[in-house]
Amino acid sequence: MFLKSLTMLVWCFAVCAGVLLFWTSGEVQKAEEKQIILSRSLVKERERIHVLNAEWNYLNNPAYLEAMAERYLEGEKESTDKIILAGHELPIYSIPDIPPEKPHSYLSSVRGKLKTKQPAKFVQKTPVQLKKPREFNALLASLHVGR
Amino acid sequence: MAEQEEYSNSVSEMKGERSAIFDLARGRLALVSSVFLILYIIVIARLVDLSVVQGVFLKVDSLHHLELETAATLDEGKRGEIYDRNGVLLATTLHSQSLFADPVLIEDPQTVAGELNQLFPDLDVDDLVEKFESKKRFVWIKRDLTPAQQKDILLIGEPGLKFQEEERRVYPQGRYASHFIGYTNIDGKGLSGLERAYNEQLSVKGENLKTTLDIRLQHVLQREVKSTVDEFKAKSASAIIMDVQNGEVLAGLSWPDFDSNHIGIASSEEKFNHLSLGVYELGSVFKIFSTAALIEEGAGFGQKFDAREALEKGRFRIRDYHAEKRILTVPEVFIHSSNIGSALMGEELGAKKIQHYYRQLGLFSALEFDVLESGTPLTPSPWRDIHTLTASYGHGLAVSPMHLAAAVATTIGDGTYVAPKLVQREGEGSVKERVFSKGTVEKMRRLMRLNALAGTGVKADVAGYHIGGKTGTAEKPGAKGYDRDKKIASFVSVFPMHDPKYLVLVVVDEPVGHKGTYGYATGGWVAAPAAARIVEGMVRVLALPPEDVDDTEYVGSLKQYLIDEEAKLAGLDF
Repeated sequence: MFLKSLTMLVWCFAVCAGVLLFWTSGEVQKAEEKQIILSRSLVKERERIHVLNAEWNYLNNPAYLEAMAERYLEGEKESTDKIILAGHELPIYSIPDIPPEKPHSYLSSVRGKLKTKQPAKFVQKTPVQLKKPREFNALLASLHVGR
Repeated sequence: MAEQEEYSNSVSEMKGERSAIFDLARGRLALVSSVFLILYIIVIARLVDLSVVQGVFLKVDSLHHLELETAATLDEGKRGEIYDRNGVLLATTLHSQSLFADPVLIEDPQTVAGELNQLFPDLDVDDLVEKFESKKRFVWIKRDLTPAQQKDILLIGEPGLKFQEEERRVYPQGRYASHFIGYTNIDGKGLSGLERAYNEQLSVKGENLKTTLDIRLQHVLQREVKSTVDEFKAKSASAIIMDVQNGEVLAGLSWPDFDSNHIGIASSEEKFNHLSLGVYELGSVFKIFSTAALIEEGAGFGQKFDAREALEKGRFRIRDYHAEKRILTVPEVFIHSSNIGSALMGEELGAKKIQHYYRQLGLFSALEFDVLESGTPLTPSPWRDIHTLTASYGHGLAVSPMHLAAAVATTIGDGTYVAPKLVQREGEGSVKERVFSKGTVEKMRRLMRLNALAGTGVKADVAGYHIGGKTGTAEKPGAKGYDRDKKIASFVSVFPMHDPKYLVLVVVDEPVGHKGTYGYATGGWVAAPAAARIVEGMVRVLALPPEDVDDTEYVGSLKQYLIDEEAKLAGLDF
């Protein structure tokens, strides 16, 4: 009696195992197919990203960007003299204000020697405004740039 | 009866024996069955685990695992990439298609050759026909095609024209820092620059390289040096921007330069690295080192040097370019760049000490640098007395501009040797060798600042950025001694001078003066304005805030060593 029931049990297990095995092998096949498709698309995608990255870096060459900026943007290169006076207007980096009342020590250094540079432009009272700071900030916001 | 009894005994004996055998068999069967049952249970448990537990509940994870494995194997065998310090791509490898032909499959060589010639005028029809009529099964036609070119070839519809995928090294920044980045041959072997020096790391290990370069500063350097070269019709030039504190090269340029993408058309002059391989007599910038050595040996600013007349030493005559014709103090020798004064400093120091300091500054040996194109200095052999004098103002020994940059960074940095480096390495730390004491360094910083305020370096000053620097104008050696018409003009600029961070060195070979410079082609007229423009460019790129440094305080102590006119120029007329 014991043997009979044991045999039945073994048979049941065997059938279950067979069914499970069959089902599992089907799943594995499906997974393999999926993996091959994924691998191929992954290779393709990565290659595409790689090429785009190279292209992006090529197009972001500083000389090219500078030429484009000069051509299409209204802003002009700020001289270091203007940076000193308009420091607090710079949109990204916060530069501490330089108190306008206190005469700058470098004035004394340029007074004697720089014949071509006129010290007068350094003592300008009102800070030089960047051309369109608001538009620039809006552009930055739209690009999610900025800190 | 007895027989019957015997029979029944034997039957019962047999019966007993059979029963024992059955029992044994049953027992064994049960054992075997149990073993199988256990095995089945294990197999089924594993199956349930794989198919149900992992397959259904952890499905995403298993697939993710597969993806990761695939992704990991994708980059194998690919040459590593080179980046700048901000992650901008400097060199990468892209797949490209190359065209080859299987001549056996080409039925009409003349037509196919004609069509290919229309697409690629550089391919000669006769050559192509000759290739197509050969009996080989593989002949290269054109390598590294663009996708558009490949499409055009496919449209010819010739089955004998086939493509092979190849790897091509691409340099998205073109000419920028090309002497440092280098280039590879068509088989991907590094032949120059980092591509050569780090060939194994890039190709065998496939590791990426992160350099210390900043491509934005490289652009500034390239733009301003190119403009100087054009303005002064110079033969060649080199320039560098270096971080004084750790020796990191932020930008480096040797002009004429080349595009690593088109190395085939680059001339040998373009490929030559003037910055780290070429060695030159760089002139008065060496006064930084001889002056520092003198101060280190205990001399004070007040020490006087007679520069009233040219110095005659044997058949040599040492004269001043900007002759003051009077007795000069140490700061005056420095700001007027007096050769006589510096030669006298050298004489006072003596050959051994000059050699000692120059050796400590790395000026006597090849630089251990990240690219193999590193020049070995040319030093006088044998070293005569006159060489001690000439070496004090940068003549008689030739070093690369890179040597000079490292030595200047050492002198005004913190006094310990600064080794230039081009590749960022994690956790690198070496024992730094002290060359000058902190006191000497502070004094040299003040002299450099004074020179930008009232000396030969005034054109390098940028208001608000506390520039210091030194000019150099060296005559080039010709067939009959030094040629006065052929000069090497240089300027080394450091800022902010009170706490140096950046060093800018510009060296211009054979500049020609013009009306705007009153015919002068000296370091102060040629290289100093270029250095100032480079600093202005750096300020914009790095958004460096200006600093309010009181120079009357910073260099005020030097007033006592200057004549009134000089002090007035320096803004010290208080």
